[in-house]
Amino acid sequence: MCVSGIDSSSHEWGNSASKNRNRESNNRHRDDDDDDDDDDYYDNRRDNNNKSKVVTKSVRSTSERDRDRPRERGQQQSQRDEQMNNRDLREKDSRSNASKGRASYIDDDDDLDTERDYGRDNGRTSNNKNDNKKWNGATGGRDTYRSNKEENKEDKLPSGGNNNNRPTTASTTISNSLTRSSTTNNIGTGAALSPSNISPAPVVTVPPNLTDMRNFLKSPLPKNCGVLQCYIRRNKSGTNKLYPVYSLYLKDGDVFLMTSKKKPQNKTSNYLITMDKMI
Amino acid sequence: MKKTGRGYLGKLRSNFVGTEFQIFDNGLNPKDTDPEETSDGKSVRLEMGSIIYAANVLGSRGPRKMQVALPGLDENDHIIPWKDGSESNANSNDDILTRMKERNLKDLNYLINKPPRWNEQVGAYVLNFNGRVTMASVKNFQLVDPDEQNAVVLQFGRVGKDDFTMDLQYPISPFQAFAVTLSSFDSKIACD
Repeated sequence: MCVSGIDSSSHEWGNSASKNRNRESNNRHRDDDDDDDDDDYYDNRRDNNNKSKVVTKSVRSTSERDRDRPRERGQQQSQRDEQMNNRDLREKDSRSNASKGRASYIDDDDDLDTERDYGRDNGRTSNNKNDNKKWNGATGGRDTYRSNKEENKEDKLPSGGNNNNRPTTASTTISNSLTRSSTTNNIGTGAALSPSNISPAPVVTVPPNLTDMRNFLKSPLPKNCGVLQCYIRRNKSGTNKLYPVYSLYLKDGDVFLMTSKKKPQNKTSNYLITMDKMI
Repeated sequence: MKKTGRGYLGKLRSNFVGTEFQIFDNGLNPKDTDPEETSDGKSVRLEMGSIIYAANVLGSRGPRKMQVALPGLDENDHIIPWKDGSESNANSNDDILTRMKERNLKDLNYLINKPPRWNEQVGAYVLNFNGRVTMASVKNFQLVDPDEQNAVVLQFGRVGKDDFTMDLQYPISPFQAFAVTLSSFDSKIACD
């Protein structure tokens, strides 16, 4: 296994983990049989959409504030900000759904536990700064690097507002932390140099080369691509009711990658995977 | 959808109870090829990985446990071809699934799902997805190297009724990642 590739993103993921560890998505193993229960709480969410508008607003303002700090950020950076903002927009829905957890904090429906967790988050955020440090200490080798960055960031932000917004910006934390690691390296001050020694991170991640799609899909993801974010859409409509079609897309640019469907009339599951679009 | 389609990449297949899965590429099943004619261009399929879900003993409910083994990589980061060994000739490998059961992980990349922590306050198992997953689901998982559990190689989780996110990084390929994810979608009689 490649050390550097994995290591680098462990930094990034780990880093955002420190920041957002409270905002954990529940991996619930009890009542989620997936195909039935969730309908209920999906509806629930829609009902509460209005309440979440405020939260959505604060998300926007965070990203705007991010943009107002040009001296910390290179050009590349502002591009990424753009991307992040786009993501913000795209994720607005899911995010606002999530943050509405505050409203449903007292709801005892099992399926809403994820959101309940978020609600609790907000109560805790006032301690965030201290928490971060404790957390950093606990995770061993990476603490120097991380606490440097955390403090840099926090010094420059009005701490109250920042803390309040944290839970809602968490959706973009992966890209956010990528951005920050490159910032640290670009500043070029003494303080910034040592972290780059600790982290063998590739400073710039390149977008994957999609010209030979088959080769791209079948080869290990290049180390310099960092973390590739994708999404899967399940189509259960109409004739696909029993055997849904799963389609995989790149998050950036919504590029279609692969699709799969379970073969009917098989005693055991058999999924054929193809790069041809179906439907 | 046909195996003969131009874009056919491979398949994922399971045992009857849905605890064991094998990923194959688009090559031919060794059962369908005549050993004497194997040199005629069409190659025998390669195994691209295997997944084992631990079966829960009846009545016990807890987080899923999954183990994934992928063929190792050579020095140029190409996947080492793993010939489907279901044909028992002497020089073929055991298949990856068998090797996993024998705990013989030579030349394999072995990954497990990161065990979720029990959270007293929410009364549920939780994993940190850094905001990429927003809904609770038994399907959610993060694959890690057992020795380096901070490096998430593949993570998958639910964000909507029919929407899911999948994030991957070296050394897994998008095809392998998608197949592993599909195994998490598949219903499991013996699990949960």
